[in-house]
Amino acid sequence: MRLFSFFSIAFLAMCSLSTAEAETLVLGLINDEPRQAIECFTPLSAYLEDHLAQQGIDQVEITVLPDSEAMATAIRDGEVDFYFDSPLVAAHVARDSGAVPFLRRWKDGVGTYFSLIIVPSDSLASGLADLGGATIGFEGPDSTSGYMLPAAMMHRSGLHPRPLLDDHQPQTDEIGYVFTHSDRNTVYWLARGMIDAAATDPRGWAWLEAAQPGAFRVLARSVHLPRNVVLHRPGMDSALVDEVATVLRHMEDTSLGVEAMEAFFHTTRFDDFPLGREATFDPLFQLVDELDVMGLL
Amino acid sequence: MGGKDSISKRFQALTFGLARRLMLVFSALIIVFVAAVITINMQTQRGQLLEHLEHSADHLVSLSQEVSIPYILENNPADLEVFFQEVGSRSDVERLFLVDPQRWLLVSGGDVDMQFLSLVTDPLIEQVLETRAPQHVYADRAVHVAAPLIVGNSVLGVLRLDYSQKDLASKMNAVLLNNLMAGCVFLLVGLAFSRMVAGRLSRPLIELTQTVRCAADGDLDAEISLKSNDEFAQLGTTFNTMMHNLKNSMYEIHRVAYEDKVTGVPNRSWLNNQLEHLALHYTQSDTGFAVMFLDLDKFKAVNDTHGHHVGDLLLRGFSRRLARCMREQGLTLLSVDSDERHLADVENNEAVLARLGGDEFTLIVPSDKADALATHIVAEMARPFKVDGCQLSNTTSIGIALFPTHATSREHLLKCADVAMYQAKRSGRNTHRYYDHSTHTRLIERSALERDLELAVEQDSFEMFLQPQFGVQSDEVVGAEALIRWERPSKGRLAPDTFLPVAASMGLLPKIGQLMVRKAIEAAARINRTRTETLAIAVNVTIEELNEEGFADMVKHWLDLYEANPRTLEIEITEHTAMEESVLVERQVAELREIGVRFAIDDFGMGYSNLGRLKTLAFETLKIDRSLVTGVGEDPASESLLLTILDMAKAIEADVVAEGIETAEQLAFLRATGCDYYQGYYSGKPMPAAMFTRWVASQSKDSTQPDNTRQQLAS
Repeated sequence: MRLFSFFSIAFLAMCSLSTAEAETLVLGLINDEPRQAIECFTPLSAYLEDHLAQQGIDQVEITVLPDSEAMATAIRDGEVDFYFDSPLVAAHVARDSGAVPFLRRWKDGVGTYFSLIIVPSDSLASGLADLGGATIGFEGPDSTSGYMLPAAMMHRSGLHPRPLLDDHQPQTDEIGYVFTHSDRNTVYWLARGMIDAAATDPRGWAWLEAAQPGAFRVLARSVHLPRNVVLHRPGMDSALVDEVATVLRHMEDTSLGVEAMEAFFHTTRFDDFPLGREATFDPLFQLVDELDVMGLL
Repeated sequence: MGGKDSISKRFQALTFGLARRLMLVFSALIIVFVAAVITINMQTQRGQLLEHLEHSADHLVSLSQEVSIPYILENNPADLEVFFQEVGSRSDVERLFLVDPQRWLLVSGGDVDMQFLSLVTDPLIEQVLETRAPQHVYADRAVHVAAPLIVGNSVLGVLRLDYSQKDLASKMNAVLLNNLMAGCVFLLVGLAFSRMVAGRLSRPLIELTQTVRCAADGDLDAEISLKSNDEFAQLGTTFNTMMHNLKNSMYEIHRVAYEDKVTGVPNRSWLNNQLEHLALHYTQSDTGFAVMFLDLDKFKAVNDTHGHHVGDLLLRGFSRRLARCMREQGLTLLSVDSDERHLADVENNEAVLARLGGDEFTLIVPSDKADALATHIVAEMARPFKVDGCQLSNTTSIGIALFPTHATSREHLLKCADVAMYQAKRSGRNTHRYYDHSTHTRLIERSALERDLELAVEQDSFEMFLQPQFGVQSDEVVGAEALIRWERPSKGRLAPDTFLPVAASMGLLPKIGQLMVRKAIEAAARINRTRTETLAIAVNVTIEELNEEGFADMVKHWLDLYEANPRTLEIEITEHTAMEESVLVERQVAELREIGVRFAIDDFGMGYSNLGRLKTLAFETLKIDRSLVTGVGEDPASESLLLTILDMAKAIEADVVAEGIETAEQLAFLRATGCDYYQGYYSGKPMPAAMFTRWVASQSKDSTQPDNTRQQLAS
């Protein structure tokens, strides 16, 4: 949090400069580390700026916002034109702002991913229902794989994890949860024995396996979701959206495009949703609604 | 070797000159100074940088500790990732990572190839966990630091930093570059300054050197003008004073060396110098000049008669008159004061008058003026000189040699002029002659003959021939006349009349005479050693020999030495010698006659004998000259004169030897007239002494066949 407050000055300064004028495209991202996010985002924005000049776009700016509410507000206010995020958060923002998902973003060569609930190998739990009295670690409220997916998965199983305040232990019939603020912290806490189960993604599972092979096991596994998605604000010129989609889809064809994608959080490709937008996002919107109802959002 | 010589020459060329050497020394000092400063500075900077780097590493670790502890306390290492990556991206950080007490990697930045949560094995971390205190390890290019994260008594983790010294290397390079640049600037400024200083220091020396070099090249007017107020200026002033004194000394030396003290005109050395250079100078030119060699006639007599003081005055007057004659011919005389390097410009009537020595003077004049000048000088010198109250009449003889007609070198020109001067003297003095090559050749031949004669006398190269003398009535050998012969090297045997006159002119006759007397005594002793009847060997002696004190003693000594009977020696003197009234001659003749040596008047009839004195002279034999015998049988007057002489000889009781008997008729006349002895080709030619000895021995055996003997001798 200290670091965030440190970078917030830069972030606010950038926000003040970022105005969605006709000739300027604004790219948005939710991140706790605005400076790192901007550094990662800049090659992509520069690439788009170069390739959209003929469409009257002479400037592509970046806006990094701290949470989904702020992003939904910015999209609604027309301050962000294109928004990049994980699928559940994107669905949450889209539901609240009317933003439209139109491309899938691959990350580290992976187009889809899922969430895992990990427990120590010596845990007595054999299913989610066995986690009573246990504390599970979630990454944070905006994490798809680290919170939304596993929380929804638990709710659908009739389990309702409750947040633990201070150092209180959950009752034996309930599941308590804590936010670790990071995938790394989640697996670290599990490794340290600070929590009984960890909600993470395949990468976190890989860290654990590499560090302490055989010490942990997968208790539950979610459905597959797109690894990441790209949305545009409602009311955008469809021709411009198509043009942006075309440019993004062809980035993998050029070395400059590949370099820019790699810098942007290890992106490896942009493509259309294989099952189509509705088929992909309707369940997600439904999941978001469920989470909302559950008060998990 | 060639290579070493070449390097040595290059080194010498590089270090020639004080300015260059000073510059090299200054440059070397500056380079050493700059190198030392750079080295010291580099060491200092390196130490400071190392210290700074250590501080930086410790500071970075401290900062990392401070930043990390709150996050670790919150079990939130993930939020440290940005910080660690930020720090790890620094160029001076190789890697930075944090492990928990279980050695699990929590967060890292920089070059870390370990994964999150992987187990870290690191000795430094172990030491920290053991000691709970920071640990440092200094490697070649990095400082390895490990520090604990401690809160209270708990160790929350260990920070591990590899702080790179790559930055140190680049900083040191930058420092070195800066030092080098500053060094170069300092070096350039230093070199320029040293050049200026060296130039300023050496400039007076260079000026001094140049001036001294000019002086060494003969420019005695060279002066140094240094305006500085230092030792160089003092040296310059001293040098100028020295040059002034040297100039005066040189002038005096020049005068002493080149001026004739008696006459004040240039001397032989000065003339030689002029003549040598003129010969070289005009070799490539069509212009010629004449060398005139003058000799004051009969100057020796003046010295002998009036003394050298008068002689010197005469020479002075002679030279003054010569100079006047030359000026009257429109010539300008060079003097000793003239520049030594100035050659007589004979084309523009410049001339030279010099005294060679004694009464010899030499002139160098234009060729076309030589004849008129010589005539003028001869005429002028014909007038008497008034010297010290005396009136002296000394004419001059002049020889003239022309360059390049007669000779082209100094020595040859002087020689030719000298020869020409002798030709003038032989022509009767008081005249001038041009050099004549044929005369010169004769002189050269005579000169060679003189040299050979001197050598022959020194080495006793003369040979004695003996011509037998016979009794007119008996036809037996009664004696012999010793005759001189000379086997001249590479010229063959010479007759006496070809070399004796030259020997006489050289004053060698007494020495030659002595040699012949000794040979004659030795031959007389040898020949008579086995004979019962002695033979007398006659030898010619000149008046000069007889007039030498000790001649008689010398003859006596040889007679004793060879154990010869004095009566076997007959000394022949000329009629002229016999007439000489000399007490010494008479005494020595008397001494020799007293011991038995015989005396004969040679060539009687050729001179003008005082018959009265002839009567008083003591001699045993009269030798009638061959000229009186030649007319026998042809000229009644000659026969009549011969008869008269024979009668006169009988009157004074002298034996008579007729010379030059070449015919039987002449011998018959002698027999008829009662002459005692004869010699001549008719009966016997001169022969080497050794042959004569053998012949005489054979004569005594064959005495019964005299005709055969005579025939043998005649052949």
